[in-house]
Amino acid sequence: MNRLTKIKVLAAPRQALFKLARAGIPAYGCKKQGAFFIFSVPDNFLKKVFAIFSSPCYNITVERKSAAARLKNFVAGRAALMAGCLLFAACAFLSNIFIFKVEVTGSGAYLKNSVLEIASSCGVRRWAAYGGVDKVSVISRVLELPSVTFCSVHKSGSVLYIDVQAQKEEELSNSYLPLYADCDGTVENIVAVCGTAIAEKGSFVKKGDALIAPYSAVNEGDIVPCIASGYAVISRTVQLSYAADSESRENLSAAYASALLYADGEIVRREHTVSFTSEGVVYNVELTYLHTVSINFE
Amino acid sequence: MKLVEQILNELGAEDRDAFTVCPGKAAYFCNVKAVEELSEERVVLLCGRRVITAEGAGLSVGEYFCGDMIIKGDIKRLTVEQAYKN
Repeated sequence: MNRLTKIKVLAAPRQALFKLARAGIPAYGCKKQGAFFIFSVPDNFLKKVFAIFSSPCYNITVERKSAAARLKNFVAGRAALMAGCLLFAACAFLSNIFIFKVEVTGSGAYLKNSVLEIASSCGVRRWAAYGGVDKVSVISRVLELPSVTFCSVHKSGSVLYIDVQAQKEEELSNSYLPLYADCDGTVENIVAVCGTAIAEKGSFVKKGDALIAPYSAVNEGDIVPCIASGYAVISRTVQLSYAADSESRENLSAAYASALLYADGEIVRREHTVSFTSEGVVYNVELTYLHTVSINFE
Repeated sequence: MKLVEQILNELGAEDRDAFTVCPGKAAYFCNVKAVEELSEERVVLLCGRRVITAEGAGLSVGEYFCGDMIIKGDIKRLTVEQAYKN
């Protein structure tokens, strides 16, 4: 920081520089401005300079105080403001060190009491220092809670957030349900990744029939419950009618196109018959397609 | 600087008798006893028994302490004369 004070004196440069040199005062930025001589000296020589030019014939003034002196005066003139700023900075710093509040967020917030209990045993409590928190221990112990799938601990300001994600109860209960057929049809293929396939390949199933059961057979006769996971491909046949004014290739294509709206899988067979009415013709389309139904399987 | 010292030795001169001029920017003088004249166009220095006159534009004394002086500005002409006592 600049510590030079700029001085303006009504004197000849020759005389002023001679006095400064004789007193051993370093001078900087010396120049003549009209009848005045302007120069800069270090702050610690300021009193000495004024003593040298104390004679009434010298009109000496401080043109510009040094940056350090100006800062000092600024601070001195606003002591209360500076004290307030320092106090605020200290409070902000201290508040960042301590934990004033613990929040449990996420879909597992309903486990708040259990999570807070675990956190408390790991050193997370109000007015405690954040540095003393064993995050790894908190996360590992929260993950041990039933249905918790994810946990993270982070601090924002003076609030410690414990984000807990839990598997929804609905999903949890659904996963222990068997795979049901959602339509009538013939089972073309069935794959049970987890659980036991009840329906056999080639068998006819009705809507609501169980295809994969949520258990596994271990050894002989022992049944162990598990999450049903897998899929089944059902060959489904649908029939529908399409009315047209006359029998033509275009109308037949339109009839097949309207049947495609019902098929959500590969079409394996399609047939049609035509019946004549007083207003035109009716196409009766019979469509067989492969429909896939799955559970806990992407 | 060793080259300058070698030249000064060969010439039988001393460091304090030498001065350095950086054209268009500044000049450095040693052993300045007094400043006879100071203006933006002309600076007259008394260095021992010599009178050095620097002429140019925008001249000012950048620093003056213990006989060492830096003159800033565009020095276009430098004259060295022997000072005679009346």
